[in-house]
Amino acid sequence: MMKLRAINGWIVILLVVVGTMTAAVRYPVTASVPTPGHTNRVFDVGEGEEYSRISDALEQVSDHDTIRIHPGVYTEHQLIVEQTVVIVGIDRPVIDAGHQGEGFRIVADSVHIEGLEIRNVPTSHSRDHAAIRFDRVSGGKIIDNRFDDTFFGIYLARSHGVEIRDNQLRAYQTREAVSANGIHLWNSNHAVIADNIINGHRDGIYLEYVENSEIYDNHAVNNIRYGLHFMFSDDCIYHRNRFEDNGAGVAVMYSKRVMMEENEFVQNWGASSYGLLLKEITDSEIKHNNFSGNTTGIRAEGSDRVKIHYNRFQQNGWAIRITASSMDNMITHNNFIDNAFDVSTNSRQNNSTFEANYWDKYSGYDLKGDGYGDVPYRPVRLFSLIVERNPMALMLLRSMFVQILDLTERIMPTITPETLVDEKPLMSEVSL
Amino acid sequence: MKNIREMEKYGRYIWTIGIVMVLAACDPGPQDIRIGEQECDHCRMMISDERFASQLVTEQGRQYAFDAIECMVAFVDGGEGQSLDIHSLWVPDFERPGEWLAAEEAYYLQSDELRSPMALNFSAYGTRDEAEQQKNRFSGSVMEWHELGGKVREAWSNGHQH
Repeated sequence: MMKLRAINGWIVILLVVVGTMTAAVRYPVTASVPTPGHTNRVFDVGEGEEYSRISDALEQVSDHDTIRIHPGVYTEHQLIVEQTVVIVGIDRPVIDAGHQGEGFRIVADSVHIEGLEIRNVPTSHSRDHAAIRFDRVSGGKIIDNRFDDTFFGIYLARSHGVEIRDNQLRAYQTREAVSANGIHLWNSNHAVIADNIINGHRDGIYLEYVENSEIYDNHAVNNIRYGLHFMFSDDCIYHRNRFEDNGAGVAVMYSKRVMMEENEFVQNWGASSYGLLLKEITDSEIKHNNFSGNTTGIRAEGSDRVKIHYNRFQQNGWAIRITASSMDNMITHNNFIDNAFDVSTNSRQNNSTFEANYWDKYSGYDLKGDGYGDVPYRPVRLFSLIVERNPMALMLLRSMFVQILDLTERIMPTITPETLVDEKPLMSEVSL
Repeated sequence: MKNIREMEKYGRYIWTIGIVMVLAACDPGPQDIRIGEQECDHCRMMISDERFASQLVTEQGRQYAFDAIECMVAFVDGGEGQSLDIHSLWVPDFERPGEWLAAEEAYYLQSDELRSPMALNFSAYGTRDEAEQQKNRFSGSVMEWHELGGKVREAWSNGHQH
């Protein structure tokens, strides 16, 4: 018995030794050897502290040091960060750029910025001033900061693997003046953008030539153009975001393999507004989203092989407008409830599949009892084609004449796309 | 007598007004673009940056608006624009916001430092001197209208568009 316990003891000791060895191997960075004389120092900035200005501390730091900014207002701009440091605010100190120029410019890898408020970055006709810019670096974090009246908020240029989390960005830009984006990524891959609130910019989040990035739990509201905007950005995923009261919700343009899941597209009203614009998009997926109260829920142009399924379309002017130039899209298992028009298109050609959706306007019956209506449903109203050609006709929406027109067309389709038919309309809502 | 003289006077006014109206109708110039409301007639993006917003005006006076110069080039050069009676093409003067330049007579800078909405980064100037000065500030290359078509085709034919 004693012997067994002794062996047990040895095993425990052995495990501990092996454990520490593997830990040391796995995390060489945290256990970095400081350069002589620079042992992960902390630089305090603030009134009565070692440094009174952030720029003074930045001149003294080396890699792996920390700059701790105490409460106060620092009237500083163009703070260049050239070492891998942590910059952390205590009780949210304010960096006021005083409309003089950009805020922080990070040119070192893995810089961490947390707990600051940055204010008053000037608009410019020819310079893309940002509150925080990462320029050609790898790694880094921007966590829990506030941005107030900044031109660009966060700007990543050729910077990879940066995490942008828990920030609040507020701008007061107007349509008439030059405006800029809240979180702007250009040529930057493997980014994580999560839990941010972006208000009053041109686009809330803008991605241009961005790959393999994830955007989730953000709230984009009241931005002039789009809540989220993809340009030439492949293999990204965005989910659980809320896009509200923007010029339009989200525009996904010239991109491939974009995954869009569990987002809220609400109240994007206006003559040419929409919840989601798809322009030249291929091999993408739109799943479990909610589109409600938009002029148009989804507007698709020249988009191929997109799966649109398990979404809710409620109280939109148009739930889906899809041009005939869009091919091989699958629209299945969606709920269409209380929309003025469910589907609209611009031609008699249709190259996409609509199947097994729930349409609240469907008035058929299910005698077979298999859950599907026995007669097919044609979601495109003749009147919607007329409106597509002549928008002014919209004022006849509720007229008796139009209802008769629609009914006749439904019985004998002559103008609406013949193949745009749901052969298996669901009798009850899809539970989402 | 007095009446006739008055008639002549009014007649002259009416003629002048008439001629002005006819001239105006014959010469459709650039029209306002509603920034933040109008969408691009080529790429459908909402037009939000007056530094790059361009327009085509047809003989009938209809405006086609674009969020970027490159969109207008693509529209005219192989796009929908080919079936239109084009009267004139207008690009925004980068140095003088709100003023229009005839596209064929303007000079262009393509510079990564002045990023346009559709990423080909053309900006327009009234004189070659202005374009060259801007180039000295921001780098890039100066070109003329007839060179833009090739640039757009080169960039957009392989992969992303059309």
